[in-house]
Amino acid sequence: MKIPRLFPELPLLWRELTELSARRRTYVVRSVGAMIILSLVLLLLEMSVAAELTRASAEQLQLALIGIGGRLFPQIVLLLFIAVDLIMPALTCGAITIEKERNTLGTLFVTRLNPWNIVLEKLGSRLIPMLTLLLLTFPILAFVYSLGGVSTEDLFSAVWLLLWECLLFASIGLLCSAWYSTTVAAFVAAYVLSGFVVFLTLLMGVPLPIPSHQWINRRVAMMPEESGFLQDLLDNLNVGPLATVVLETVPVMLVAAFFLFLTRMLLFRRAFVGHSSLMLRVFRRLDFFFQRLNDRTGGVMIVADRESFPEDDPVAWREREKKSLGRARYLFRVLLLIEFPVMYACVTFMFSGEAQSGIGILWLLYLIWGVTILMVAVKASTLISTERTRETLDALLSTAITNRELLNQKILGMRRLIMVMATPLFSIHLTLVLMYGNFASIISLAGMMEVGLLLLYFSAALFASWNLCHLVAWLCLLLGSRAKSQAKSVLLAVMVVGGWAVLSVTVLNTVDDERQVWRRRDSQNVDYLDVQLERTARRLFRIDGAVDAAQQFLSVASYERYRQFQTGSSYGQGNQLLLEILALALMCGWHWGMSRVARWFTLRRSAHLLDRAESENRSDGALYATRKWAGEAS
Amino acid sequence: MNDQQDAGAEPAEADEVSAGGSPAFGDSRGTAETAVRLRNLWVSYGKFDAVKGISLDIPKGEVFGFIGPNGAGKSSTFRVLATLQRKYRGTALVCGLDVLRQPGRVRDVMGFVPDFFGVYEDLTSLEYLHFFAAAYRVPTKQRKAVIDDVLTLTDMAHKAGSPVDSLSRGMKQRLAMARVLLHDPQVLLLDEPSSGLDPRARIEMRELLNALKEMGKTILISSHILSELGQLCTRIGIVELGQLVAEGSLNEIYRRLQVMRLIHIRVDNPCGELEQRVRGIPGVAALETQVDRWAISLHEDQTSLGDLHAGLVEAGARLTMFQPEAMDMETAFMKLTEGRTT
Repeated sequence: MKIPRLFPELPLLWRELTELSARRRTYVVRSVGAMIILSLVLLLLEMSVAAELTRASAEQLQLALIGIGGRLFPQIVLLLFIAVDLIMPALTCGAITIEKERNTLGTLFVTRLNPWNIVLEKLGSRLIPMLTLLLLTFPILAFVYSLGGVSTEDLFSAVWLLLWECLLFASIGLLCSAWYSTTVAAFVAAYVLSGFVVFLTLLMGVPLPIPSHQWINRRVAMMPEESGFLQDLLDNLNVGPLATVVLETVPVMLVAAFFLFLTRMLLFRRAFVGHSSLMLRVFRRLDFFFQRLNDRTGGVMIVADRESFPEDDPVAWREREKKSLGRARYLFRVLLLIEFPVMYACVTFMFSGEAQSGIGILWLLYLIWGVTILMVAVKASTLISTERTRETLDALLSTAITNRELLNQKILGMRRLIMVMATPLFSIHLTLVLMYGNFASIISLAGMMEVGLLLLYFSAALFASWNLCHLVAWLCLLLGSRAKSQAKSVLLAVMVVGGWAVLSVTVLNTVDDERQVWRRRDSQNVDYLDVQLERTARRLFRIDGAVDAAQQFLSVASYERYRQFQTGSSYGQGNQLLLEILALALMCGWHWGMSRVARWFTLRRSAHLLDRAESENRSDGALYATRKWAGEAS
Repeated sequence: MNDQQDAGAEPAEADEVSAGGSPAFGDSRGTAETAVRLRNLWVSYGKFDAVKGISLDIPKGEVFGFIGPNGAGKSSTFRVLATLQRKYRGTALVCGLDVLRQPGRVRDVMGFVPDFFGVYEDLTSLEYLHFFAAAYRVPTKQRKAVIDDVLTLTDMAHKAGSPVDSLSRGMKQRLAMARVLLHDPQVLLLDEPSSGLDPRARIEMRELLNALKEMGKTILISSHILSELGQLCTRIGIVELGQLVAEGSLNEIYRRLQVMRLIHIRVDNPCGELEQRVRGIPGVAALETQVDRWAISLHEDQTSLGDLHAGLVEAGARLTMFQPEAMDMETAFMKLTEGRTT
């Protein structure tokens, strides 16, 4: 008698999990991830305890920590939501594209697995690692629960909402994986789509309460329940709090199911799409647009591509002349595409006259700065892995070109891209100079001093951006060179640079302190040197340290002008401006030094990165058998 | 991890392996006549030994065929010689230059065609060759002439302006050959150059290799197409599980293995009696009757082809075809290897 199987056989899930368990990387990533999450939780705990003890009076000290779990728990769960949002798209984006890249998707189709089997088993194979990572934090949640102040409903709703956050972002990643042919494209698209969903719900107020949004509203921000169709319905049903949480996630369930349905639909239709570069398609569209524009303007050619052959720097030549992100014509179009909106925004901010325009332009600065860093990171990290995956690296490495030359030329080939991406930054800094400057009084000594300070800011800001791009480029080249695939190199580089950027933001948790310093600065009770030292020490670890120092310098310079206007005193009074100049110089020097160290270290490790013995030092320089080949051949 | 000091780390195995056919090795430096010298070469990836003590000498101007099943260690050996393998033990010399200590000079005298042909999609054939001419440090003034020459030699001149991506596989392989000829190397390392080519492209490749052989280049070639190697190579080495199981000229290997030569004959008067007489000729090991011919297996060490021919005529056979098979390398290969792969 045949005994019916209790659970269905899941061969694909089994294979995926077996592969996962066989990789050493799985355990490393899980351990590192758990350590990071636990460190952050401990940091939160320490900060909360310190805050409570500071707030409590001497007689209340023993009671101060009672119920602290209730205040800590929402923050920790929020941290887990952030972890899910950051990790889940990266985990799922390669689920189907890897099969496409290995040409194994077709073999799956000819088995008895139906499309839903494939989609759901792939989903399961990516959900399980994420859930096990979350499971690692449960002892911490239990500890926080034991501190008191956390209800059972909070605990269960946190678990429920985290599960659906995982499912929502996993379905987005799977959808992108089904659509795109490469993991790199799916990776970028998964984050863009995830960001779009978050943007829609958080900023645009679209009635799709994603689980993290619900948690923030109800448990972190303690916002009152918004009225709306869903809320009215829940009020009418008069259900308990747990059931309310479950019912509130129904829209998310529907959206996740819709994304999974789309994935199933696309699984066959997009299974064998040819590999075409996303960048190439964007450029083709741009080409079409600009050619039509050019027809209307009478065929004006501003930048023409030169047909040339390499001289002594073949690798840099190819990166510069033959790559989409190297050719002058394409880069000029990218420049126009980015520069026009930036210029428009800058002019709008400059002439709006509103107090918020300064903050707006700073947001724009950081947005463009982020895009620039991302583009440089992705490009630099794939410089060697692209050669490796396209199997062109061995041919290149068997030539006379040295390892150091190869890496140097790769970065040199990126210089145009960095210049193009630095141009909008140039415009924004120029706008800031024009906004903060008072050029009417330029003929006076004070006016000239002000112009000098603004010029100093402008040069330092551009120098800082240039150095930062080079620092990121060398760092990502170092990180991405050993990777066997582009996807791995991009993932690693984005994780490191993104992680650094996120940590930089978390270092900003002392914003309140800063504000207090600004509030109290007129009281002359603050030792500005101490504040500056503390701030500079923090900036040393920040990816945007030099950029931030430049902005700080500009603020202080404009404040000094305001004070000069108010009190009639001249520049140079006090040492605050001098300290800011010194801090700016230090940060610029620090980032310059870091970029040089990154370059030195990368070149020093070039033999390891390329896995090829470095050429010996030769007094005769690069050799070429100068006898005429043709003569001998004939 | 070098390396030279560790060269004798596995002496027992090394001795056993080199007994496969290499002459006794004393001097580890290459002589002027030796293009490639390997001594007790070990290549390991983690705990796995891909190459286990291969030793061989390849004189200048020789075409050496490297035969072995997949995973036998051929490509690892090629990577060592092409200066692409940093970690290995033993000695590897190309034209007397140490691969580990003088990789730059080795790259000047060596050209390497890997077993795959990755393309730079964004370049034309001409740009591709200019790119590599610059990478090989061909003086700028000579580049055009050198590139024209290699394009002519490889019969690719008419495709100079075509994007590399649009070329057929055979043409891409010829372009790869043109690439490694740019700096006029003395030694060519060709890893599966005919792999995946159609018959026409394969014949064209063979002709090109013959031309290079006539030019005096030392060629180290690996291939799975055994008959092709038989026609081209002056010596062959058979590798299995990282060890050189046989090395020498084809005749030496046949003699050592007592491999039989296969001769196809067609007679006007086939009959049972004649068949019996032919079977009785000394050296004839077997006779197989096929649709339109007889296939005779001959111990060539006992009876030469001329003697067989005379014997057949003497037995009364009216021959309309007498066709000795050029090589029976498949037999040799099957006899020497056991089909074990890693």
